Amino acid sequence: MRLTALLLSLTLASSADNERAMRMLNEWIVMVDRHAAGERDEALAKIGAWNTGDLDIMRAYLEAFSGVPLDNADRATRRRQISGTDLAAIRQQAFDIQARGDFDTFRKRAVILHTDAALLESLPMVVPPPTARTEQPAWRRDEPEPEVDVKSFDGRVERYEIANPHWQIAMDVLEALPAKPQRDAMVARWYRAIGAHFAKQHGFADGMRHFERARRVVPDDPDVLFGEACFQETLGAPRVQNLNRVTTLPNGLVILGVDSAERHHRRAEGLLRRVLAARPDFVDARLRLGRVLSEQRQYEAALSHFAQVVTQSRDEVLTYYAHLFAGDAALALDRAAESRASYQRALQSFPDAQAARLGLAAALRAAGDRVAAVDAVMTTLIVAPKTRDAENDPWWEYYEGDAANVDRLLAGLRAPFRTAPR
Amino acid sequence: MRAAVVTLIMAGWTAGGSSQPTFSSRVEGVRVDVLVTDSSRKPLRGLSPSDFMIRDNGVLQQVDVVSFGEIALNVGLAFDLSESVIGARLEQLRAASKTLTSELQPADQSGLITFDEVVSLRCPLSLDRSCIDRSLAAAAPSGNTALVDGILSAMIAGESEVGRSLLMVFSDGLDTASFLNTDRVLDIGRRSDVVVYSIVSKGGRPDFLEELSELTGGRLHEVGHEEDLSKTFRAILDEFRHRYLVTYSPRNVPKDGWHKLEVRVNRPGARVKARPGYQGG
Repeated sequence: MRLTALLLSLTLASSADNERAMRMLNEWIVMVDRHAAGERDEALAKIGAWNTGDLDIMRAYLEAFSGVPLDNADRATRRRQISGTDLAAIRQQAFDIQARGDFDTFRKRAVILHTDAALLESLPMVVPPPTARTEQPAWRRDEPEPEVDVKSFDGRVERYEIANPHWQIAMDVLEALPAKPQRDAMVARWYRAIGAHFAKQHGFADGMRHFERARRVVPDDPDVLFGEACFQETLGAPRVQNLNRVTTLPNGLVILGVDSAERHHRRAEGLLRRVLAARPDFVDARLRLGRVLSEQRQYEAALSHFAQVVTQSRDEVLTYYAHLFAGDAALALDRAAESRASYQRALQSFPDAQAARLGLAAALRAAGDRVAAVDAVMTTLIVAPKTRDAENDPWWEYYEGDAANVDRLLAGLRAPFRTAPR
Repeated sequence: MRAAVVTLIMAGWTAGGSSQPTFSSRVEGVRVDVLVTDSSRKPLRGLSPSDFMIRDNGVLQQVDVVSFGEIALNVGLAFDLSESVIGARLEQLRAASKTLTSELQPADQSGLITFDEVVSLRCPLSLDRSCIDRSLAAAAPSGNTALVDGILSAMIAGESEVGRSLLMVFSDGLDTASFLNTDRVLDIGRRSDVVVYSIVSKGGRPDFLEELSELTGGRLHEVGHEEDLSKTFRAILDEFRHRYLVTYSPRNVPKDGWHKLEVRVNRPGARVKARPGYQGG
């Protein structure tokens, strides 16, 4: 599993080469217009070739051009890096685009360009492990600590990377879209689709930054809330909690953003309750609410949600999950016969599912039926696939949350921008 | 666990041939695997039923049978073959398994279950010694770690009414993929006769494995990356072989629920290690 952790540091641009930055802005405007969403075209290659230093500098210029509100100190700091002359030139260029009458569309295309740059281009991100500047108390540091993501697999740290600045730029430009009378619908669509992408990539650090912004920008969108709930649920799962517990990083670095399982489950519960208040028929949300309640040992309440899922949904995977989790909750309540029945119902849809078969074995063994328990275990061990296959057992993808929908969501996001306007 | 059924085939206990009808008698018995060592931690031999005192939920029990060393072993191996077990560690695991199987007695059975994200039966419990070597030679670790699922599978598959069951778990101790909840698996551990010995990498902080080993009467061994696994495997097998299997029929205690066990030996300086209790019903 990849655990991407938020650590320290942020590098601010030092001295900007204003002339170069203005040339890059001009080039950017052309490329935004030329890029066809989802394509590895010339426009993407040009913007994708910007290095992280370029992107740090350009962030301020693109914010100014796009009209991103100056609503926080970081943005104000970045804006001060732009000279008065440049700022006037940037405003004139923005005015020219506005005069075409499609400034919102242009800004959306800019979001898509940076999204594609993050998704399709490979910006070199690997860095050596940073050194934490722990000798100074936080209030005496005049610069933020460096921020680095940790990439690990199966508990082993593989490398350190900096966050991809294209994501921040895409989010900045999204905030420039009209917020009143209501946010442009693309904003919520983008947050859901990219949240699903991070879920698929197990990019937890990116996910934290992503949903932190989403809370501010689209705080009530049920789909985005659902995406964050899935994310919180995963952070509370043993796979992340165990990694966090044992991972030791060099140079005094610490993993940030991973709290206790209880805290993540409570957050997920709160988010899912908000989703269901807005959309009571959101069956995926009900399933996950049941699961996080079960994780908090509220088994009776969980069972009630699982029962509703079974009644409301005809989706084979959702009902499999509902039976599977009901089996576990019933066993926790020492109701082995009920647990066994739930697992058997789960196996009706996915007869080779290892999770359900092992759950059944546990229920049978708890009921004292050793022979049947051995039979259940042997059945699944003998037919076990060489690698995980969600077609055999959807459990293997449960914690990927919204990831199963990522291709559809990205396609929907890109669809209006498939062709370049000129 | 533990409400193991001891089946006494009456004819088998009758000297010589007989035309008399034979009977099977099923007695609800409890088997407790007990390690008794002297003050220098060497196994204490030659104890008989009268040397043991067992209290089941505080009630003194009559020990029926004590056996030492004469019962064949069922040695189940549950190995983590996820991505984190590659390179030198895998080589050590192969060598240690070879050492272990070479030290088994002719009647001992061995078997192998492995787990990454998927739990797989590589070798069923049998007298075949080569299966484990062959399986590990072909193993290519990959993926995440379904440690809890793997252990539940191995505990259930390893239970046997014949012989004594040892489960040796090797892992980095870090579960990243299981469905099963640790509480549920610990509960099965309380019901099972299998004694779990865990071997984990140092620094893994494997709370679950420590608790499971302790409650089944086994032990957790933490080994450094450079340490020789063969030595640890051999030590575990040796310790397990030198344990007593103590059997009694519970009297004056309710069948269901948690039974706290207290095992003592009437020899000065003797140290006793056994599971702290069992789940009845």
